[in-house]
Order: sequence, then C-alpha cells, then structure tokens
Amino acid sequence: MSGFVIRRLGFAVVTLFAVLTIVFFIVRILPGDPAMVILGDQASMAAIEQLRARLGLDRPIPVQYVEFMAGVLTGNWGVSMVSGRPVIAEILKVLPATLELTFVSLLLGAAIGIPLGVWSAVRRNQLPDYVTRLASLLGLSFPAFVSAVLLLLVFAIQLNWFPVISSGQGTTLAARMRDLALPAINLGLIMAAYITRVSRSSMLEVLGQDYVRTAQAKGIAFATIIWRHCLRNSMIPVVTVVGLYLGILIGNSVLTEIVFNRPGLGKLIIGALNQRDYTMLQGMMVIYTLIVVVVNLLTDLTYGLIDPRVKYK
Amino acid sequence: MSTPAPTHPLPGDLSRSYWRTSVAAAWSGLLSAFNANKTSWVGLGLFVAVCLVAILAPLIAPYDPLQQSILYRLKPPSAQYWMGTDFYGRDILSRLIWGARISLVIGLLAIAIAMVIGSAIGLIAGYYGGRLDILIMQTMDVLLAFPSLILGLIVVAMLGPSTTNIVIAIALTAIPPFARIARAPTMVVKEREFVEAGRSLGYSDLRLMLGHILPNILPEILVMGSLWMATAIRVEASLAFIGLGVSPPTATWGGMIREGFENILDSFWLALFPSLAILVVVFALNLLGDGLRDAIDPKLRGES
Amino acid sequence: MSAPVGTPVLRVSNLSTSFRVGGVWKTVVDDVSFDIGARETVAVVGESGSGKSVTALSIMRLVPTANGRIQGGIALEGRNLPDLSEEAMRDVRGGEIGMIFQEPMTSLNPVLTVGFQVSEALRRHRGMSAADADREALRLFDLVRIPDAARRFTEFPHTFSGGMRQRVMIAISLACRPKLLIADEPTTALDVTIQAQILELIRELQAEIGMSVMFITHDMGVVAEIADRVVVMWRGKKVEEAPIARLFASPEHPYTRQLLTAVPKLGSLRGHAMPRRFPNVDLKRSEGELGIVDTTAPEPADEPDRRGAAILQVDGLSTRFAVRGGLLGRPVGNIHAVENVSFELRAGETLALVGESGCGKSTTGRSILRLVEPAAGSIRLDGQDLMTLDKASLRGVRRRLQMIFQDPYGSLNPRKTVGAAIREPIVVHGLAEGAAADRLVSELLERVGLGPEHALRFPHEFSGGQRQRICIARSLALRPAVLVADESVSALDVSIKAQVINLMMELQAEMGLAYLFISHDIAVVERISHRVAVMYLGEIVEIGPRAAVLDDPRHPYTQRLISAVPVPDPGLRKVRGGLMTEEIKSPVRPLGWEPSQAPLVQVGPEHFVRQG
Repeated sequence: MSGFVIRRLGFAVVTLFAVLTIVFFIVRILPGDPAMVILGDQASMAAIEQLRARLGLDRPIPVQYVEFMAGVLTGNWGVSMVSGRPVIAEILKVLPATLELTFVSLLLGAAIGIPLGVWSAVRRNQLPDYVTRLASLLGLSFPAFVSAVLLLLVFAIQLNWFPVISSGQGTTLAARMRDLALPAINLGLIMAAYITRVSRSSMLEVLGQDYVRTAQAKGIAFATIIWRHCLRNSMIPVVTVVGLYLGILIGNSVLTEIVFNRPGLGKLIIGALNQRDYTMLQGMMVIYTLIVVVVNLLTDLTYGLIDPRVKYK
Repeated sequence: MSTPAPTHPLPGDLSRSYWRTSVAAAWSGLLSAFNANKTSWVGLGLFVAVCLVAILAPLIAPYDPLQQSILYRLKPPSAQYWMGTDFYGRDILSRLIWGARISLVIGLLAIAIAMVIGSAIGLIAGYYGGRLDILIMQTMDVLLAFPSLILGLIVVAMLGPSTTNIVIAIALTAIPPFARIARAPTMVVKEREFVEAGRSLGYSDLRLMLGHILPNILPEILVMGSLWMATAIRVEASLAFIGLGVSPPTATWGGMIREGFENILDSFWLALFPSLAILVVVFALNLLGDGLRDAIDPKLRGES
Repeated sequence: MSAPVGTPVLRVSNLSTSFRVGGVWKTVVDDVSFDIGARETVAVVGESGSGKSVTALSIMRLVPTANGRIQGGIALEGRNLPDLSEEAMRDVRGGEIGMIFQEPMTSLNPVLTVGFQVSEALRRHRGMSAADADREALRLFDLVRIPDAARRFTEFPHTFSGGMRQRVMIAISLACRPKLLIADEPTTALDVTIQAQILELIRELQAEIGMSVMFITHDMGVVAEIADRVVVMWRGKKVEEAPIARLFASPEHPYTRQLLTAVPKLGSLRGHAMPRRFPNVDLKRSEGELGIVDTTAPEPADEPDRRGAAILQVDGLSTRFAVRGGLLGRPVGNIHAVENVSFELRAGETLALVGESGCGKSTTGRSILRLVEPAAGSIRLDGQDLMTLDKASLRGVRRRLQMIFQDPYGSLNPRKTVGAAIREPIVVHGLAEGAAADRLVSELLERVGLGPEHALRFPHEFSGGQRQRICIARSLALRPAVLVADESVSALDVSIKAQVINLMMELQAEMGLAYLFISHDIAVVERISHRVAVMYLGEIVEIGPRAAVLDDPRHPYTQRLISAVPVPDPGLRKVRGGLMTEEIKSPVRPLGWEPSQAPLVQVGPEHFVRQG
C-alpha cells in the first residue's frame, strides 16, 4: 500500500511541474503582448519596453522559465504590481475563505447528488427518474453566475433572508453560516446536478453486473443488495470524477464570489484582472495548479482505499 | 487456382456502392440514435431555432443593436421595446438576437478546433500506448481538472480580449476532454481483432487509425462535441460577465448580464432576458448531447 | 436411473418465457416441460439461442418483471414457485435452489472478501451469527478444496483464478444444502483440466449433500460425463428428452442427430494417420436451421496425403513480456510466453498447437506474424528469415502468411461493408483495382459459400459462422501460403464448427494451404491435423504425428490433458481417482531467469518428447 502512496505522490509532483510548464508556455507562445495589454495601445514604445523589462519579459524564454520555476519552489511568487506586497501573502490571506466555500459546496452537492442518483437508477425509466434527469440537466445548464444572480434576487433582495453583501469575516458560527449559505447553495446545487448524473450512470452500470445477479440468486433482499453490494462499487467512478468536477467548482466559485461579493481567490483574481496585475495573475495560476494537483492526489488515494484491486497494481 | 465463374452479375462499380452503403448506414444510425431518446429532438429543434435566429439577425432584429437612445433609457418591456432597453437606451431584444451570433460562432469555432486537435491527440496516445500515452494522458488529466474558466481567464487576461483570443482560450480548455474521450474508445477498439487483422494484412498505422478506428469512435466524439459546445457558450458568457468578453459596445449575452447586474435592483429585465437566452441554448445542447449519448452507450439503453 | 421416482424435486410444466423487445413480445422459452428427480442430474443441452439459460433464470424467477413474462408451472417439491410472494421466493433462492453461473471472473463482487460472500448466504438463510457463519464458510472452503483456506478467506476475488472463483461460487450456492443446484455453463469458460476438476467436485458434492443437479451446457462431452438424463432444447422448444444411454445410442429428433454427428469425438480417428472431414455438413445451411442428417451415410474417407515440401521453419522462437512494478514501473520480471519453440510446417499440412491458458500457443501464432516482436529465434518462410526484415519488406511477406482470429464478432470492422473489408487488402497490396478487384471479391465470397450480393451488407447482418467465413475469404484475398488459425472455431456453435472446419479442409485440398491450427479443443484438432504439438508454460513438450501424440501420449502433461477431455460417449465415462487441485501455472519468471534447456527426445517416428 505504501508503494502505491509513494507512486501517486511522485506522479503528483511530476504533473505539477508538467502543468506549470504547459501553462507557462501557453502564455508565452500565444500571440499577444502582456505589456501592451497592461498599458493600453496608446502607450509609448519606451513605456512598454520598460514594463517588459520590469516583468522580465525581455529575457530569453528558457531563462524566464528557470526563474519562474525556481520562484515557485522557493515560495517567491513575485510581488503584486498593485499593492507591492508579496503575491503569496495576498493569496494565503483569502485562501481559507475559498476553501471553506468549496468544501461546504462539495459536501452539499454530494449529500444531495449521491442519494438522488442512486434513487434515480433504481427507479429507472419511471417518473422519479425522468424528473431527476431533467432537473439535473437543467441544473447544470445554468451558468453559475446566472443562478447566483437569481438566488440573490429572490432570497436576499426580495425575501431578505440572507445578507446581500457578505463580509466573510463573521465572528460567530451563525454569522459565518449566514454569509456562506447562498453562495454554498448556489455551488452546491450545481455540483449536485453533476454528481447526480454520474452517480446514476455508475449505479446503472453496477446494477447490470454479474455479481448483482449472484447476490439475487443468493436470495438477498434488494435494498440490502443496493446498500452492501452496489454502493461501494458505484462510488468508485464517482470519487474519481469528483477531482474533475473540482475544476468546474473552482471556476464557478469565482463567479459566485463576484456576485455575492465574498472575499476569496475569485475576487482576488478579478481584482488582478481589472488592475492588470500581471505578477498576481501568474501567482494565481500557480495556486490553482497546486490546488488541482493536491485534490487529484487525494482523490487517487481515496480511490485506492475504496477499491481493493488497486493496491495490488 | 481454378475458381468457378461468378453466378450473379456484378452491380456496377462496387466501390462507389460501398461508399453509398456506408453513408446510408451512418445516416440511419444517426436517425435511430435520435429516435431512441425523444428529448434529443427537442434539443436539436431548440438549437436549430436559435441558430436560425442568429443567421437571420439582420432581417429579424427590430432595431440596430448599437443604436443608443437618450430618451428611452432603462425602459421596462413594452409594446415598442419587447424586452425593454438598457442603460444606453439600446433595444435588448435586438442585442439579444445579434448576441446570439457571437456566442454561437465562438462556441462552434472553439469546439471544432478542440475536437480536431484533441481527438488527434487522444487517438495517437491510445493507439501507440506505452510511455507516450502515459505522458500525454497524465498531463491531459490534470489539465482536464484545471478549471476551464480560470485557464481561459488567464489566457485572455494576459493576451487581451479579442474574438481570436477567446476562441483560442476556450479551445485550449476543451482539448483535454476531447483527448480523453477519444483515447478510451481507441484503446478498446485497438484491441478488437479487426484492427489486429488489419495489421496482419499489412495496413499502415495511419490507415488503421483513420480508416478503421476513427469511424468507430466518431459517435462518442460527436456527442462530446455537442455537450462541450454547451460548456463553451457558458464559458464565453462567464468570461463576458467578468469583463473579458468581446469588447463593448458589441452585444454579447454575458456582457449584457454584466451590465444588468450593475442595475439589478431596479431594472431586473436587463439581466433576466440574456440569462434566459443562455439557459435555453445551453439546455438545448445538453438535451441534444445527452439524448444522443444515451443512445450510443448500449449499457445505458433500456435493454434488460 | 431411467425415470424419476416419487415426487420429482422439480417439475416444469408448459413453461413459456417471453421478453418485450421494442414493443413486441418475443417468446424465448416455448412450452417446455420436464422433471428432475431426487439425486438426479439432468443436462439441458442446446446451442446459442436455444433458451436454456432463460429457462434456468425463469425457474429462479430472476427474469426482470418490467420486460419479461413467465407463464406455466414450476413446482419445487410440489410447491408452485410462480405463486410465491417475492419474500418467499427469496427464501427459495439460495436456500432451496442454488445457482452457479458461467463467468467466474465477473460473478463475484470485487469489493467484498470471498469469505464474506459465502457467509452472507449462511447468515441470510440459516440465521447464523457472524462468527458461526464464518466458521461454517471456512468448512465449506475446505469442502470445495480451496487450498490454504484460512488465509484466503479474507482475500478479494481478483486474487483468485477462474477455477478457484468457480469453487467459491459453488461454496456459496451449496452453503445452505439446497435441494437443487442449477449450473449454467459453469465450466465453459475454464480450461479443460480445470473443467475436469470442477465436474468431479460437483459430482462428489452432489452425492454428499444428496441434491439434484440441473446442468446447462452445449458440450456433449460434458453431458456424457455427468448426466443421468438429457433434455435437448432448440429455438426455445424442448425437442427431445431421454436417459443418457438412449440419447447417444439412438437419438430421435433431427436436431439431436445433427448435434451428435457434428460433435467431434476424441478417439474416433484412432489408428488413422490422416485428417478426416466431418460427415453430413452442408456448407450452405444457415445457423439455426435444421439440415438433413442421413445417419446411414458413411463417414468421409481419410484425406489423401497431399503434403509438399517444408515451407515454414521456426527455430528457437522466444517471446517475452516485461512485468512492470515498483516505483517507476521498472521491469521486475518477465512473462516467458514463448520459450525456445521450434517446428516445421509443410505445404498442405496442418500442424496443431494445443495447450491451456497461458501455455503460449496464441503468442506463438502472433510472434510468427510479428504482431508481437519475438525476443529471439528465426522464422523462415520460403527460406527467408522474417526476423531480419524491416517493416517495408515485412509488408510484402505478410501476404504469404495470414491469420484468422478467434472472435467472429470482433474480427470485422462494424462500419465497413463486408465487400469493402475483403477488397481493402487487395487494393492496399496493389493486386488489382477497380472492376478486377470487385470480381475477386465476388469469387472469394462464393468460394466460402456466400454470394456476391452479400458484399454490400454489414457484419452485424451475418451470423457468427458466416462472419468467420468472411474472415477466411479476406485472408485468402492475398493468396497466402500459410494460414494461422488462432482458436478460429472456438467461439462457434457445435454444428457450425463442423461447417467451418470442412471448409478449411476443402481449401487446403484445393489451394495447398498450410495451417498452423491453434486450439484448446483437442477433439476438433484430431479431425483436422496431420501433426500435433503440445505446449506448456511456453515450451513445446511433445510434438509428432497426430495419431502418435493423441493415441500414445508420452509426456505426463499431454497424458493429463487428454485424459481430462470429456468424451461424448456415456459408455466411456471416466472414473478419476483423487481430486486434483493443481492450478495451471503461469510462466512469470524473475528477471534474468534462463530456462533449463531440457532436450527433446525422440520416442517414435517424428515423435519427440521433452525430458524433465
């Protein structure tokens, strides 16, 4: 088992570097000049050149690459062009809020999605199944900001159940939960839509397996079969896919944080965008890559825990 | 070797008949896939309707989407302006109709590019296997998990918001899923004996990949295409909402929602109609792709 | 035992099962009636589509109620099963009727330990506590002869081989000492020596528990080994029912007769040196049709010896696959799939490679064609060593050396018409173009018993046997000299096997083809081969003329293999003393392992056996 863990860790490190490299090169190779974007096309050539030198964009690409990677490893992610403070410090300040939102949304999505998917699979092609499928399709058709805006309209503005603007710095648990509620519901429902679908298709596949027929031939009750024989098997693909959905979740959390004006990585990146904070953007790229790789690693390890076949590979 | 003469007359030029038969078979396969799940017709119909609206924009839009009017700013829906007007007095309905073009064109282009490049990568990785495959797919897998919105956002932010850059950004985020969706069935089909038979008959790798494997994995790729187009439109709208869309004053749905968001408390219709438009198109494409996917995957069909 | 005594354990009366497909009800089991008496073994025999499996599922009421319908009476010791409530039926399932299925690899739940899966049945039906159930389950493990039972009790199914998993399935189904065991093709997916072990096990346990057995199979040899009475099914109907001796001696229904003539009997060519075709085979008859079987027609004569000079010489062929493990996926061992294999093949000759899973026969075939790259050795075709050729020259040589694969359903591209598939190699190798190529396609199709109009159809419109014939036509397009047939008839129904074998022998007579016939089915091998080579753990352990190797095997493995083959003659039922639990070994070796070069010793004219 420990061999498995070490191997997975190794992969994670390698992919971290691979992805950072890819993203680095994508930005360097595609047409377009960041300095011009920052200063606007009315700026003088001298100003552009000066900015490029400051950003290190005038040096040859291999040199830039080495500097970039070295910086990532040592924790020197550059300095914000706007605030002057280290990028990594700014990120760490708001990271907890985003992690909190992401975690709660994921939990909510799973709590709703998994049982709903199982139920839909068991009642296949009957009314509950049709309704669930339609609802989940609708749910993931909503762009996150559309649903966020709608939620804001109805629950915060009209009904006034939740604050319109959340500070994210409430001291009591109740205050934090009120701030978290609408954003988490927004993201949670979208996640529930995705998870319902994969839970359903995975359960359907498991229900068609030979070992379910064996269990029936043993005379086991259907509910027991679902619970003891099917569930764990059907969760395997769900777990592996959660890592995938994390990307969607993070993207949607950016939009959600904007709409609900909640501090977090999302607002940070938007601010960096609006203010053309190039180094901050680069630092955000690194943190997102890190998050994704870590979550993938955790998913892999969980998968190894659930599926006994994996340990022996 | 002495063989008996054929007892039936040959039907003309057989190779053209083979081609016709294959096309006919593909067409009927497509039809039965649509018929398997009736909702895919609904999805197709909605989507085609929206496409028509976009194509016929110059003919059906009541007003010029860029024409401002100081008198009629922020007017709610009325007989004169069916969906009301925005902050600059522009007709929302017309902007909606013209905005359809942007969303659809960007979506189509981006997905077409991603489909070709991504499928090629997946096909090659799946066919050759080994270290190449592991390397490619590990990277694809993590890129896959990388939030497409963030990636698109960073690319556009660093390079400037132009239609080209947005298409490139969205295409980049869509390449890994296509690579993955092409690779898995490639690996399955590659193990099928007709591929090995082809190798023993002396066919080149290229012929096997393009002529034998690709036609068998095409359904999965196309279904993915329609589903990802839905995502592409969503991502484009999201980028516009953030402020990275095609520059104003061009009408884009996401941009319209952004403007509407700023006025949400008193003029909710600014945000409402473009939201509905996005919802309808994305939902239609999802219905279409989802229905087709159910038809293609034999495990998910209702067969006992 | 000729007829059941007293109340039969199972009485099936006018059973009909239908499924709704696309809105239309299709009858799969049509008015079937039979009895199974106490302590009796009844074999239900039929080919694919006969409805035998659905009959079993209907008895267990495992037919999905949404699209399925069961009509008729099924009485278990007098109680009518269709009348029972679902809860009562669940008590019957596993408690009074046990069932084992065909696919051991997928019938066990991969995330639950095997011990648990057995004790679950005990807890469910005998109300035992967890500890008691585990104890009893362990006892059952011993009963089904799973070695090292105590340690393997807590392991997961994927660490067990197919034969072992089937033993676990038997333990599960017998846990509650049922009155009836339904076995649905339990040994079809197993190697022949493992099959012999499992059949022996079932027989022993049946005597010990005193239960009846309903054994579903398509293999007449297995039927002869274990059945007291036989029920023959065809297209959903029961066409014959008889005690075993009478069924084999004087079958009444045409289908039974057709089945029995098509079944190869190992030992029927004893004393004959040359191959011989199957009798009464009509090439044009489609699958599922009844041909006219004239039992008075004589057996065909032995084939004349038309063999020519040696055309393929394989020398010291070795193929290895790396086993990767550890941190970076480094090689930690090798699978010695083919180890130092040498043989010669003459024009117009059939050399059979026989053996069980993992012996390397398929890999040998693929290595000769260089579909996998051998590690060492030479392959001379017409004197030219294929191992020295580069890719471009290899393409040219490939024409002379073709392969027919096992799976008729996977061997043809589903998106290409049959004619296009046959035409493609002709065009790719530049043999003909345009109308000339089309003419060749028609000729080839006719040669294998199909018509030129079939060229425009797709593979899924053909049956398994027809598809295999199309594959043969495609291989013939390049005018090969040697054809490697890798389990080419294994996936076909019994009566269709005979058709394809006869076609192959016709083509051999006409075109002077040489066959490397790879198969695990020794009875079929007996009819088609001139010479036989037996493989075990990647090596040839015995090779020689067919009559010599099969009638007078010298190597202990060959002897074990041949004695394990079930013969479709109840008079020759074997008594096997002592139950073997030997697994089939797999040729995985550590890095750097070199085989001991045990020599081949001559024991007769052209008959060689490996010592040691």
